Amino acid sequence: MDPTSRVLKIYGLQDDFIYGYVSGGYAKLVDPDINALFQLIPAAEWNAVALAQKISSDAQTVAGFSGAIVFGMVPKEFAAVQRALRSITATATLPLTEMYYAPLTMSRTVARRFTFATSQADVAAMMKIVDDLGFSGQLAQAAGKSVHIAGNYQYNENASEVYQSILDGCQKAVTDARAECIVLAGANGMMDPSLAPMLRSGLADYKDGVPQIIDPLGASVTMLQSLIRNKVWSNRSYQAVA
Amino acid sequence: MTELNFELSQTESITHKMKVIVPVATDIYNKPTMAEVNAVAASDMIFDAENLTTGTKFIESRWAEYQDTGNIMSIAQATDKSGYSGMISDCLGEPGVGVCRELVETPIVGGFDLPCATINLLADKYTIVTVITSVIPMITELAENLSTSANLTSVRQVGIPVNQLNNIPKLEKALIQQGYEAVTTEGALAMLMGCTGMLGVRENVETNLNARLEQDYPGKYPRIPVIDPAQNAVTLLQAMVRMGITQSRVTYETPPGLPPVRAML
Repeated sequence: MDPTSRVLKIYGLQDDFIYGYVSGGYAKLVDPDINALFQLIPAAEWNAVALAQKISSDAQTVAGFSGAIVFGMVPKEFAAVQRALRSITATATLPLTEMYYAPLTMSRTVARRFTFATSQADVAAMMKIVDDLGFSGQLAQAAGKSVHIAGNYQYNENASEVYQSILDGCQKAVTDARAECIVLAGANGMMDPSLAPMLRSGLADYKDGVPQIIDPLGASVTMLQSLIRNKVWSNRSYQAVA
Repeated sequence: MTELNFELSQTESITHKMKVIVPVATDIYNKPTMAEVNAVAASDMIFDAENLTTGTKFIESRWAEYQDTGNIMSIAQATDKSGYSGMISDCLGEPGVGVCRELVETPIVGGFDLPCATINLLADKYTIVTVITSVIPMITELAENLSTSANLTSVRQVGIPVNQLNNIPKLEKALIQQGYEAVTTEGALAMLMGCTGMLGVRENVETNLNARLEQDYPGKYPRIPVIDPAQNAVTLLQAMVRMGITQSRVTYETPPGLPPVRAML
């Protein structure tokens, strides 16, 4: 496959920390035969209509444009992202995805029951998304509650302390809820690509079992690369969220 | 503020050895299977195929799966110790996959779970079209285990046993007919080819199925994606390898009395 013949683009909300993380840390996830481009959009332009227009325009004008991911897991923005993707799917012939379905799917391929480790405040909204996407049956819960690890990994000055809190949360998820896989789902620092390997190391000898850790952007990038290689894209009537 | 654009590119070159376990005791499928696999393999993933030395010539029953699982386990364990990054038991029925996951640390996948995950990303409702009737309940069980039964409109069959799938014109015609019926009578929006031995036909089937639907019902049916299970499993296995993930040891505990599976971090 000619490396220049396939282009996937990741659209994200512009934020200073993203560049440093994704430009280096995610390089190992990139299929060497597919050109991966990030485009970060100013907050003022971040809305479903503008997003759909931008992706549709790129699909027409970017040579080799083969697929797109919308970066971000903020629950309140998810419906807008879905609206944008649906509007594009109605006309475009290319695979598109966001950052909930891919990591949940990846979780399902290595385990049966997952939970989130998240810095998101609105866990209820996240659970609604999980339900809408059809994954609630696989959600590991303890006493009816999913795992919610508060705090912001990226912006906390004491990173080791926050890492330890996430690790503790993952262990609790295994012990209390028999979580088999943990999907990282914070909007900011959880996107640090070094976090999942660190947690895997930290959990390697955990007494109650060793779960898998899924990085959401990594899952989205690699799943989209899979779709591009298979030359398959959505059915035009597909609507993930009613 | 302006848009920020940048490119991701691999900074170091790592080549991964990948194993395709052809889970039958014959080598006649190795070459066409590798052609199918290499069509979607990334340039940093080097695949090789290995068939069983003992077992059945094809899998169309639970009995055949049982007969072949021992040899699949042996190959998987040897592969696990030989520097491979991933492996696939190349059959829609996922023979031996669950067992092997308890025994090895290298990620191992089959031909069902991953393609179903993909097809759920592409469409709400889909059909699976397999070889013959005996396989239908086996696939139905797999769908129930994966919690995807609600997405299935049907499990159909082309009436062609595995050892006759090399009749490509007959296979393509039958797949198109079954897909056409599933779309027009059941509301299927996508189709998964229900045997990894259905080799080299996906694009033709997808093109001609959609052309026939458009001819008979102009504008009525949306684009129907057709998924090749082997190719899809291979590309998602590549995704797992890039992410460094493997089967969860909570889901697949090492059996009591066996030494711990080696750590792979």
